[in-house]
Amino acid sequence: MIDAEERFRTLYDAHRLAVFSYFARRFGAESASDLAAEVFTVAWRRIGDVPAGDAALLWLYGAARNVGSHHRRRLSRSTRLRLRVASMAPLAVSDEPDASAIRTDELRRVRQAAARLRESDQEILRLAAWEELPHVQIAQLLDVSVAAVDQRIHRAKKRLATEFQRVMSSQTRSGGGDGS
Amino acid sequence: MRDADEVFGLFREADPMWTASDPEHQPSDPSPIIAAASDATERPPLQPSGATGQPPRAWRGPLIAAGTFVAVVVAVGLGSWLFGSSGTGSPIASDELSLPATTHADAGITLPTSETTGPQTANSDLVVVPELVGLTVFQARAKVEEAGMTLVVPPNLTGDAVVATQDPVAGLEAASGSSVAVEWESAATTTMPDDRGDTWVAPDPPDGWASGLSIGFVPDGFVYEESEGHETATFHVFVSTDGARRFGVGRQWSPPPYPFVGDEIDRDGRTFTVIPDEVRVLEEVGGRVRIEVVSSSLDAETLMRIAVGVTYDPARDLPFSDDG
Repeated sequence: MIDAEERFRTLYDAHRLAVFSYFARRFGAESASDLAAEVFTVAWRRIGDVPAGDAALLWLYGAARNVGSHHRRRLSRSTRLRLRVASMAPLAVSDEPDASAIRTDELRRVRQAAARLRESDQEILRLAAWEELPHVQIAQLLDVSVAAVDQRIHRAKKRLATEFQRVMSSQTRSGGGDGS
Repeated sequence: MRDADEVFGLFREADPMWTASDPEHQPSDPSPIIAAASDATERPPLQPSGATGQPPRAWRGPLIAAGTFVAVVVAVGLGSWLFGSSGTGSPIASDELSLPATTHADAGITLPTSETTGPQTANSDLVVVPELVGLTVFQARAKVEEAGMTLVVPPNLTGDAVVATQDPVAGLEAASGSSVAVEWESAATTTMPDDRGDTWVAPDPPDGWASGLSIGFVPDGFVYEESEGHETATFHVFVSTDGARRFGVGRQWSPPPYPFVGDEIDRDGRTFTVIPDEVRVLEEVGGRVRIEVVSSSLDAETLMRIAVGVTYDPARDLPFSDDG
């Protein structure tokens, strides 16, 4: 029991932030703590199953995916909508945009574009871009081949670019309108 | 026109965890973790590509301990529905179990800024240190947070521990955000499972239902009684014989929906609304207590009380479902 506890503490210590971040990115910081704690609850109860070393984080991400999809189902329609809308917050149109404001706008728009993709596309892009997982690990996590991951990411990127283009042009038409 | 890789590069940068310059996408209620992260590191360790997994040293100390506790915290929070009261004036109703909203952010993962006992450069506002001696964990934490300071609570503290000494002492001025170190009295430290009470394992769920959390280990002075089933859960009520600490712990079964804040649940011909961070006693009948639904986000203090007596059967798991 001591060993298990020690292992758990080490695990928690090393990966708490990564797991928290995983949820904060997807559901916001408010529920991230609870969800992260759910993952570590599972980890505690299955501490014997948690692989040693670097694979542990991947295991935790696997648990996080399950907890996350559970959570998503638990959310009411309205909450999901709210999350979605939050990711599509309207752009602040500045008269004299400086470089950093433009950058901020772009980041917002790319998130907006991503929010329009189907969930599986979003997730694989997030795993690659935000969790910075290499394709090999994403493949393990999703239980598909590396080639499939390569292809899915490739397609998701293209769809993201398309949506991004759409967001950009719709914003120019309806919102900003300085026509530059 | 940007190509896909460029857009993907933008997306990479758009990570909500690190785009601090974008206030609209900052979480509205930043958790202490985020605060700590931005203080401690520019880009916290996410161990990309299976790197070395270096833990964030800056907040290591107090959190190790918190880790163990978290396991208990959420397990209870998730799996247990405490049946709350519509106000029949039970002695343990709100004042003992329900907690101020200010503490709720601490719920699963407590991240006190404890390593900085001294003034913090970031925030040099001075606050007056409150008197804590004699207070319970819950009371002390509330006071400390009210004052704008932090309190480090060891995870294995029992619910009845009180503050014996504090540093800095009451009345002194201290930097806002700094922490108060306290020693606890009668804090018989308990780790997770110990040898008190009987172990009780919840009955098997019906066929085709995944097992939710189960309860083991009923503390001394508690007996349990199984109440009637429910569409998605079976509730068990623990009754204290000493009258001091009573709580209900329910075992939840899949399939979902799990209740969450705002849901309305019909039970016994009455409708209950799931509320956040509140544990209320519904009624007491012949020395028994019924407690109805709360959210899954119980705060640390409430759970600390519960955690003293409840642990989990590791043989049972949360349902591990496929991504839908």
